[in-house]
Amino acid sequence: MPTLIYHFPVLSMVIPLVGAFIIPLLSTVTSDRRVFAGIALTTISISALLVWSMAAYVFTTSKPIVYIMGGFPPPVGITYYVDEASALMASLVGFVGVLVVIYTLKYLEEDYGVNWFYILMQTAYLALLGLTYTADLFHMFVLFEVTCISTYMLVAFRKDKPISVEAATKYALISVFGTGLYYFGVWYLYNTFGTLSMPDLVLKLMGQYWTPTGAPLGDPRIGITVFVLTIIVALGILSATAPFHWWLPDVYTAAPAAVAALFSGAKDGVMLYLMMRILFTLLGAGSEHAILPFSNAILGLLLMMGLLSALLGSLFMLAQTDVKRFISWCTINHVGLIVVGIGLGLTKGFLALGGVLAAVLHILNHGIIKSELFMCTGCFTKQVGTQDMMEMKGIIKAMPVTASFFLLGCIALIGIPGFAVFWDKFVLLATILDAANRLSPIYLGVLFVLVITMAIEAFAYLRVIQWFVVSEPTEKVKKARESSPVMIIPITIMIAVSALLFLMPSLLLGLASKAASALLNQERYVAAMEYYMKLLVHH
Amino acid sequence: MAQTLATIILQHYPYAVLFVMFAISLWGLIFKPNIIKKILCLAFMFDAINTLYALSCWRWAKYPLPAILTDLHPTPEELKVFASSAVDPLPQALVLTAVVIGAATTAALLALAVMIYRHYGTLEMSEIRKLKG
Repeated sequence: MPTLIYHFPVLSMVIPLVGAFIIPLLSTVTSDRRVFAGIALTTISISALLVWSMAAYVFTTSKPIVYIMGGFPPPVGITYYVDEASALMASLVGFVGVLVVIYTLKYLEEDYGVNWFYILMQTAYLALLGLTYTADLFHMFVLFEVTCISTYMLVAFRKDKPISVEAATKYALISVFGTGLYYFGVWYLYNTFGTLSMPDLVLKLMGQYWTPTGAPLGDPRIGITVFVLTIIVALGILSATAPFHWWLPDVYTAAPAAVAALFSGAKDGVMLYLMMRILFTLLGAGSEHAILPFSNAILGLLLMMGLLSALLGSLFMLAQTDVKRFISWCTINHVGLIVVGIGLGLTKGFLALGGVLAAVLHILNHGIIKSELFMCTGCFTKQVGTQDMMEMKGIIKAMPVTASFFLLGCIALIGIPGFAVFWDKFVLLATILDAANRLSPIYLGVLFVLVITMAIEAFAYLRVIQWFVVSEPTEKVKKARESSPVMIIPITIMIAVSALLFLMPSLLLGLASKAASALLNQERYVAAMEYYMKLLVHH
Repeated sequence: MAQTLATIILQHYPYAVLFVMFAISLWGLIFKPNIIKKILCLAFMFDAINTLYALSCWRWAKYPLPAILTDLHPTPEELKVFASSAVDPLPQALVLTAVVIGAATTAALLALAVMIYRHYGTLEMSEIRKLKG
């Protein structure tokens, strides 16, 4: 048994943290941007390599990695738990993180104060990694705050632009409220169960009270109801699910494209992953014997939120002329699809696996393509000098490579076979059809709404394709030149990975279904940490 | 009956006060346009939740004592009494962490408010709507 790999979760976070502390020290002696970028690229690449090797280990051996902080076993100390789902999400964060840092090497060449950018980038990256690993609810709150505080400042990075500052303020106010609400939910849960360690909570919900924290003090049903409602609102705010979506288009439009790429690729996905981790692994919402009051109401709530996001996202896509705002509304649309998948996970049994599988697949594939699209918009705005699509008409003649990758990304998100997003939409719609067959014909309505949103989305994208390809180039576009290869390489890699994953459905679906069943498997979650919890019990 | 009602009120009024505090801060956060007032409301909300955490230290001990054991070589009986009467030390650690985080968050928000003022010359969110949502 290799022992070093058990330290990889924490090492993959500590290395970027060290980088984040070195950069301010170095900026007292040098102001060379290449030094700062080099440090950030090195630490994030090493961290991503650790994450990928950890993922390879977890997927090949099917053994979760448990890291005990400071040697304090679970109910007392903080635990990191890496199973297939965490490893998959952490790999996504690593993938997006490395490519975004490569992209910023050229993207930020005209900005000043890049040392601060790379410090915040590294802290945001490590906090997102930590969120995928953690098995402690209060530690999760701390990591939420680390993610949020670094991302407010990343959004306001170009602080000489008024809209950046305004968007950052808006985002900061709403997400501080979201994390505050989560903090409140955690308090209620602690008041009821007397523990914040997730494996310990799972044991209590299964009716086993042998851990030192003992039996619940309050009524578990009330505690769980309050907690579920607060986390749905809190994570809905942080992942921009309707009706808490309105901050997202402003923030993604005003933030630098690299930051928007990190947000939509990694942050949204991780927040939705946490929603699944809490609903399914912690509360067992996907299993038959779960103590989850109003399970059907929560299912309905999630489906409504998902459908509303999908509908609003696709409808508002039609009204946008700003390219980043257009893609932001598309993000809301796809977050809606993921939330519908999570909602289906509450239907129990085989359908639950299908819904969670669709959600995991879509977090992965949508994250990759959406980061790619935001990176392309960064290239366009850098060359054309505007974010308005009306002034970007005919851009394929001026920037053929970037524009064709952008259009490939659009085609991928529509769900046309050729890119991995096709499999997500296929699995999602097939699961809903199955639910309509087995459960109730209401799901046909869900299917109908989703198909309509997909059609509107396809129409919106086709219109953009028409503007970019068929229309005559405008004056501004004629002056634009092809972007630097450093910016095109990450875009190419993302599109290529998506196309490869489409060609290897057995690999993609294999990985994602392992992750989905890991999310739904409470027994395995507890069994992996039971050994450590028993260390505290005297016989 | 009256006595029991009084006891119930005495036991629960801190929660009622804190929930009112939470509600006020939520109202201010949504309806007050001034950024500084919004930040104050957020700080207020975190204070309310922190106090709720502090209250939950007392939730199982009827006559709680500080979590200090004065005997250097306690017998098992003394330990049992201690464990059943001491306050829960965990929420205090949580609150300490959250207070530090809250300070960092408030600092970040105030920095943003300063930059808003430099750009727009006002702190009213209703006057600076450049972004449409």
